[in-house]
Amino acid sequence: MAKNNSSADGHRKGALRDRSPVNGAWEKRDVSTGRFVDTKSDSAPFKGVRREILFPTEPSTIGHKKIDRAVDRVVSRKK
Amino acid sequence: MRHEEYEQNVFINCPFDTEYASIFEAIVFAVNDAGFRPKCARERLDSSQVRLEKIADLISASRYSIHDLSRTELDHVNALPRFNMPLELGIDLGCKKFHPECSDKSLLIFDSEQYRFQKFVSDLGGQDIHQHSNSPKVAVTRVRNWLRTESGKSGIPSGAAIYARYEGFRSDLPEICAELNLDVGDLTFADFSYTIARWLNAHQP
Repeated sequence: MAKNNSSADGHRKGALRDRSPVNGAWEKRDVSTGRFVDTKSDSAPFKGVRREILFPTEPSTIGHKKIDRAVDRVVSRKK
Repeated sequence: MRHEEYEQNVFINCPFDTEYASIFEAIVFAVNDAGFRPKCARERLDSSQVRLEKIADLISASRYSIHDLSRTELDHVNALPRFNMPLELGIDLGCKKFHPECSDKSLLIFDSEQYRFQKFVSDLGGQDIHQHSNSPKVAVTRVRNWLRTESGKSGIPSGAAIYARYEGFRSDLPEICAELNLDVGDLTFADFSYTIARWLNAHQP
């Protein structure tokens, strides 16, 4: 969960998990409704906004859930 | 009618031999990290579909294409050149030229040395041909810069940042495969690409 820093020094702790950048410009999109909620006027991304990663649409021979679990286990061990 | 994922798809026409694997895998990672979806003839397991039809489908479904001609060289057994990559490049150029909805296609063409292509496909004169010098790092940067320029998409990380992440992914991949009871070489293209996307997602801020 993202939260603003109490010392008001201009940075946020954590990522905004309900927004994602799409299209050419950096836009905020509410992932629950799919609506755009804001667009940046410059080329810099929004602070703390996750980049949109496109997942392959082709079927898996292993199973996507198995891969998810394997990746999550390895990544969490290294964090 | 355009494929619904046309703007996000990047068709990769590269050799599949083991010597080339390090460059191929780095390119697949760079395409994913830049926020696009890599497509490759290896992704479809349906053997009933004629190979050339499968390739033509992928080409027409992708706005962006990467063609690597660096392995167009004489085969040790038959002493004949391998011409699949130039053939697929030709299909893509034809698609861009004659398909009205694909005229905005963008192609990145690699060869091993500057001007070498003029000795076997001189009709490509006037096209920008790039070299990766058989270096995955150079290939990543070239792919990143090309996608950034051609798509106009902002927020794509630098080539150095993508390559640093690629090294992190390569370091984790054996452990991920061990969790799946597989060898790295057992991953299909679709599963390899999905693993990259999942790994990148797990490393989001």
